[in-house]
Amino acid sequence: MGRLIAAAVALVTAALLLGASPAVAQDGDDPLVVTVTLDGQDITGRTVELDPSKSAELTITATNPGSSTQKVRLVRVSGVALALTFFAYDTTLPFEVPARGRTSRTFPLDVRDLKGQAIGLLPTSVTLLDEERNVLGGVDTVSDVKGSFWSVYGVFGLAMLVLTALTWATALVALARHRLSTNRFRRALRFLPAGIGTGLVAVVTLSVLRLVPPEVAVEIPIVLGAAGIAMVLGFLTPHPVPGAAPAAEVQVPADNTTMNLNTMFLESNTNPDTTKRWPE
Amino acid sequence: MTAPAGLASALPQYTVGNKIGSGGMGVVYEGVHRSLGRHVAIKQLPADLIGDPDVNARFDREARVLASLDHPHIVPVYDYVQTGRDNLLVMEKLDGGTVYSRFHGAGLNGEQSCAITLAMLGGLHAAHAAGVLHLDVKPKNLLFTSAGVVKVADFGIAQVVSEGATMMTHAGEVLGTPAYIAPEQAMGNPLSPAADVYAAGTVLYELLCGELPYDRTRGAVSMMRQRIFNDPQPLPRVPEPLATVVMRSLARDPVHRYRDAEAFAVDLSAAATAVFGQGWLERSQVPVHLGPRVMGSITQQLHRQPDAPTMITPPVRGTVHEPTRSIDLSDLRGQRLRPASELMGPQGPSPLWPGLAGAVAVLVLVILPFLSGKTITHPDLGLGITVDGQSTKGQVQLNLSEDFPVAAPKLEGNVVFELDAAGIPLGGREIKLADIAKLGDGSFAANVDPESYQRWLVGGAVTGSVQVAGGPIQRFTVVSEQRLASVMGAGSLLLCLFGIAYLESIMRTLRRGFRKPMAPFSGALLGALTGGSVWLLISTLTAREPVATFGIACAVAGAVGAALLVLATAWSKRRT
Repeated sequence: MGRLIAAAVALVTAALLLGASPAVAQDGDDPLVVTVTLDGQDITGRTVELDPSKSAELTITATNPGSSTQKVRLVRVSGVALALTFFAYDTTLPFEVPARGRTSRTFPLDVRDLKGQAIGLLPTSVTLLDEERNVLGGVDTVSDVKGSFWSVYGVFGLAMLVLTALTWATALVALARHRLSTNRFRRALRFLPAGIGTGLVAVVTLSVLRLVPPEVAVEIPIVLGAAGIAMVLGFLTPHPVPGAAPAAEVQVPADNTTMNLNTMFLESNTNPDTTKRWPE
Repeated sequence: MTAPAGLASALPQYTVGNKIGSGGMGVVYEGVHRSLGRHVAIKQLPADLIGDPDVNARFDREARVLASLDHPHIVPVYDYVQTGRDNLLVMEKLDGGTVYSRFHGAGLNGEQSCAITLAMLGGLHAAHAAGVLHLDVKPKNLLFTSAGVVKVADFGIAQVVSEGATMMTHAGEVLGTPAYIAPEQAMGNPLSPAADVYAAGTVLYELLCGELPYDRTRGAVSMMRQRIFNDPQPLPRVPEPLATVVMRSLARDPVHRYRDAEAFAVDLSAAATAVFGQGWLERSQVPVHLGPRVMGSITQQLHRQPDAPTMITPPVRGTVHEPTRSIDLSDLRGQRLRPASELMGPQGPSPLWPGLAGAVAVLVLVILPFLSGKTITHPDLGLGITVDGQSTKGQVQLNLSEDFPVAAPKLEGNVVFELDAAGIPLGGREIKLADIAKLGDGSFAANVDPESYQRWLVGGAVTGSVQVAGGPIQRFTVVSEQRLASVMGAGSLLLCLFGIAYLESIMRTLRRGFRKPMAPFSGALLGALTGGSVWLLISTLTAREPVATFGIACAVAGAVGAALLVLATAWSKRRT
């Protein structure tokens, strides 16, 4: 069981690390330098508000420092946390950016579906894609989504908070009541989920609650670091006292078995071949 | 040895013969009824107790009940006589020897031991139903008739002699048979049928494996102490489920034992049937009168395991003749008897003082962080530095998720911005001279982009510092919007809970009776961790700028408090 959990943790970690690699796949030319304004304000370096009840006007200014014309096909606005995309809007907006030239386009961004998808502070990127979905350039920002607590991201964050609190409580109560495994590594693994949960709470729940905006670069190190610290704590827990096994493991015959009151005849043994020896 | 003359005159209808036995509960003479020719055993209660009106009243009460008991596995009492000089019981005389003599002679196999125990439990249950506790169940009090029927003798004598309490001398000699008495009986606590269940379980334990459940080599007092403070040794060489039934009858707490002798007999009969197979009771050749519940239990077990194999068991022989030394009341001239519970009572230092001192230390630990000021006084170096537009002379409110400017009239060199809590570094940034912008009013401003992790790390108030071009360091108080949602907040809370859970684990170990000489030292280490965490948690939640001396003081208070509480737990357990 312990190996299974360890393998699962390794797989998830690998998936997160691989999934977290930057989405820029630029061949040859320098990427476009992109400036994005939302309702007339530059989104770079500040938190922008995305209100699903209102339509937003997005203006994209792309500067091409390269020597060849870049053809933009799509503009993608996506919210990503922990390498998981919680919302993405693709708008077809074909335009060309000439070599060493600049092009601006303005279009309305309809985010009415966002209410059920996300809430809180979420790392958001606006990227320009070509016909083959290669990333030509983009900007990252943090959006403050005025969505619903019952959105996918909101429920995920709140569930994480509750589960993590429960996981810590059960692990600590088990420590206090000598209910942990006698194997030190199993005890470390018992604390692992609490650590992972703490990392996820730090990244997801705090952003859902608008307490701390996430930072893509350190999301996964935070989760792994919290998991590592929790495992160390579990590893340092004491060996449970022998004989402190749960009472359920001790078979205690019942006091008040229902009895058959019929007359009983004790019969002598008729099959001597089935005898066994009293342990010496 | 012939009977004293007083005895013969008290029982004129009997011819009193020789003394045939003696023990802690009196002397036994043989006798014959003159007209009926019936052979009887005459028990004379200890001479020391004669004249005590309480003893006389108890004897009168018990003897009436004993004479009314009518059960195939109880030695019948024919008569009782109370004179000014003697308390006498006239009982059936049994010639088949005792379980003790047979166990130490030819030995008893598993089936016989279980059958004898079922007979004993039958007798005990009948007596319990009549309101009589035996309180001195032992192999020597289990007698065989010439036909091989087991009968329990000496009912209620312990109750008459000492009201059931175990008595002992100052020298540690115990009146009675300490090898079989229940923990609550040794402690002088209120008694119930569970005390006889315990003694019966001990007898069965001994008959099945030849040993007692506790070390018998260290004397009577040690044996009583062991059963009060330690769990019995597991029953060796006896298969399940028989061993489980025996061990349950030996539970230290009467609540966890069989609540009456019949419940014990029901489980024992089922377990013996499961282990020995069909016909075990017949093979034992010990006649047993079974109650309907016990018979039903055997039948049920046979239905459950119709093809159970039959087990052949070798006889087990008792090897140690006197499990523990007991004394005869006739040897007690001039010695005062006291309840064992008085002599075995609390020993060792009182846990009260370390407990109280520990509680005070914990109180100090909780109060200390609040005594620290909201901010540390940082001298103003007159550099005119502002952070995010706020002067460093007062508190600086910062949102570490966003960039903020550090401005001053002169910034002629690299600017280093750092954060720390009580001297523990929390990260910082160095802004190169080339990145410093000149503002319209002639001053300079360096844009600080905090480290990514700092927004999670910092909670409450911390100490900030700005150093320009390697010059003097201007310190100031930084207050973050985050409190609990930070490593300083939630991290210290979790560490604090971890320390408390770990300490509880240590104290639970001690409460379970384990001796851990190093426990106070481990407790001190954990207490220091917990104390430090409490200080950081309170400082963060109340936005107090952490001061190292308060942190160290809290860690010391935590260490002292935890060590004392662990010590109090250990001492408390030693005295219970």
